Amino acid sequence: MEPWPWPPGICCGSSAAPRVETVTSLSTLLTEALAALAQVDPAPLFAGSLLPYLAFLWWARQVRAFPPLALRGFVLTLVFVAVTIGAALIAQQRYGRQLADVDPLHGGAEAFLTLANLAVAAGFGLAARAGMNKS
Amino acid sequence: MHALSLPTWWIHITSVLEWLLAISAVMALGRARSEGGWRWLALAMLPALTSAMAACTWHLYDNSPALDGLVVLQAGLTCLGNGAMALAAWNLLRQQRRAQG
Repeated sequence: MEPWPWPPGICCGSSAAPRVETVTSLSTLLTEALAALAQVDPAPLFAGSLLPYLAFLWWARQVRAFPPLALRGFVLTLVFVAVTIGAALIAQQRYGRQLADVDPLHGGAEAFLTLANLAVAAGFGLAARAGMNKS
Repeated sequence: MHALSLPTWWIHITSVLEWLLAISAVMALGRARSEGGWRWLALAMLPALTSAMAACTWHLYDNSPALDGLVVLQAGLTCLGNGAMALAAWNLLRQQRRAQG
């Protein structure tokens, strides 16, 4: 390919080569980081997420200004977790696959999160609007 | 991106959008009540958003085993986010007790 006349070295000159190398090594680094991370078992991390979440619910329910509908949504998130665990077991035992690869079970379980988040968003949204009208 | 059917994609996308709306509503609630603690709660909700994006990226690439690290990232961010939300709720409770005098 013909090099661009101006500015010098922007397209095909020798200065373009190190830039390409940098991008390549960055993507290699990212791939290697993900591969290293993949060696970790995520199950204990997911299980360990439950305790801080219960602490969150414990403190949140004592905050009087906490919108009740939002709190319901956060509790419904626990139902989503329970349904997801059940669906994952069925996917593994009945279909021999991970949950994300059995679409109806995956979508059915995630729908509980959509419902829970709807309550959280609506709860906070309505409370914010009510609060603004008051002041 | 065909590991997930269109309805299942919509269920995912809707959940993420609702979470974003919830974050902005928490900030609005804080402004309406003039209480700073709600902004910390909104901030504490961000790791879960990142966690969701990691999961959606993994789904986008058909749950590729080469990207299993994203699932670990998702789990770690969920753990971190739940801890941050617990602290934010505790802080709101502290703010309430302080206001009571």
